[in-house]
Amino acid sequence: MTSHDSLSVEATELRRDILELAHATQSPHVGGALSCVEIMTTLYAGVMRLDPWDSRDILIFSKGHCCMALYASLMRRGLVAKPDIYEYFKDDGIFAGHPQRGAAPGIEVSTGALGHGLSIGVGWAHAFALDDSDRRVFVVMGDGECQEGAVWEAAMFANGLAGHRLTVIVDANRLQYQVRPSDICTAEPLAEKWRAFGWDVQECDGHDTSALLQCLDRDSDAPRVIIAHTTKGMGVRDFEDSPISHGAPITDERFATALADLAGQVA
Amino acid sequence: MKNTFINTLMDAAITREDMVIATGDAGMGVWDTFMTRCPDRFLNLGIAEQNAIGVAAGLAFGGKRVVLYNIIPFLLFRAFEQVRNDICSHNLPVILCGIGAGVTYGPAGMTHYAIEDLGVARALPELTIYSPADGIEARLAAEHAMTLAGPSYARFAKKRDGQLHKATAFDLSQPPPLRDADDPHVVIATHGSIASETVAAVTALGEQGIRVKVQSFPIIAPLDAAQVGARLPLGIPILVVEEHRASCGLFGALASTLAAARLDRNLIPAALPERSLHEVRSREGFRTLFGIDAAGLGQRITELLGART
Repeated sequence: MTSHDSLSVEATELRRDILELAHATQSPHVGGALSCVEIMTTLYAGVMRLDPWDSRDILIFSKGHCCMALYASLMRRGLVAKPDIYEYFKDDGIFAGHPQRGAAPGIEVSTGALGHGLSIGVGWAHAFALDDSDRRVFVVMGDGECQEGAVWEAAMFANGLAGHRLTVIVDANRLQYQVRPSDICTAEPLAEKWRAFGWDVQECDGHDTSALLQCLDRDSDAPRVIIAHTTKGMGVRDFEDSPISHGAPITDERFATALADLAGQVA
Repeated sequence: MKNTFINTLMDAAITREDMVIATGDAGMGVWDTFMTRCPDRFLNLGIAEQNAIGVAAGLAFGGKRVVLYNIIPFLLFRAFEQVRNDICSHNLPVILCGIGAGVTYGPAGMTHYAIEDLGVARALPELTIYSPADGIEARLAAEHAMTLAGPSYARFAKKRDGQLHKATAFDLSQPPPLRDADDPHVVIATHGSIASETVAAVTALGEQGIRVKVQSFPIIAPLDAAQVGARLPLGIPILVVEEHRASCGLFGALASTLAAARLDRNLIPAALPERSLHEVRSREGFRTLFGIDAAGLGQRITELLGART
């Protein structure tokens, strides 16, 4: 198994890549990209089978607005050339502000409208089951996204159709655009809701790659959901756990401070 | 014709391991043969329409050709964003099979009518749209849909409708007339189950010496302007008959296609009104109320010709 230390280093580098991209492009949706850094690192560097490519595991990035985390992850796996990643959020670029299938290998589904990824994941995992394939489907989604009714339609049907081939990781950063999910609806207890639909539910610190690996290593006949508790805007001081991290850009000052903080972590 | 479409798909799916058939808990009995013979490839996705579209997309991403069957409002309206994003934007080979076209379900109420579904579907350019007029067109539509690389939407009435074509094989984009006439006074352009009303009207008008040609349009989209222009002559009234709203139905499709190609035709709508339907009526009752049953169409054509002389 990939070591926690190597994943932790990889996550730091991914966070730096996202900050550089966000700073260069002055694009929004940085906070949710930074909250899922360890989730994406653990999946891509520690869990998913990508070789051979034609029988790879599938990752559906359902929280599409946080796509910088996906693009940078694909770059770190060699699926996107580094210069190309900066072809983001600009005229005649390669990458839009939400993932579009075809822009690069590994963008499996065009996402951006929340609540779509899980149903697609259920269907895709069922296709693998019909083919008696051992390929797996991973869906990364947000806790705010769990307000979508379609999520619970899919959750209700997943056990019978997708089984152990499907794993969901909820990036539970406890912030949506302006508010906390629990401020406006009965968002909690999230784990109990998934459990009630027959899922194998685990919770962990979503910034701890070791904990994430441990959760992802547990076998289950049922579809698995890992509620990864995270902090939106992780790594940028005034973004952390703040609604401003949703739309505000990475200014020069934020960039310099965040890089210095990252350097301090590594030291 | 619904059963013809379904049976054509089902016969193919029994031997095609890549095909999956799913319903939204609809179609009691119509898929029984497939359920019995291929239970692993039949899914009842229940009363969860958004999920059904997403699951169909996921199956298609996984290499399957999917047939998804449901009552039209629940297939196309409830889950429009899933149809748009998940199926159409990815150009996936999913056949959306919708039941209850027009006011088939009268007097069930407006929630169950599909009188603007063609407008919704036409807004999605990746969709090939079928509205067969009889069993021959239904069989050809099913065969055509199974050859497509991308998605399609086929709409049908619930009730069994007759066979109108004499030929059994033809190019579905240019079918022969349902009823031909030399030097016609009027041409009817139509689609779907109401085509039988047009044929009945034309038969009665023929006894009065009024010559009417009936052209069906089993493929609503895509339309080729040159082909449309060739089938609809210049200068005489072309009555576009449909159990649908004209603005977003075949009338709208023909008008926009012809106008974009700068082809001038005398299109006249004979359709349902441009509003929600709150009257309590059967399908036949609605057709009579809005003058698109055989008698109403006969009267309309007689008046049209009277106004011209």
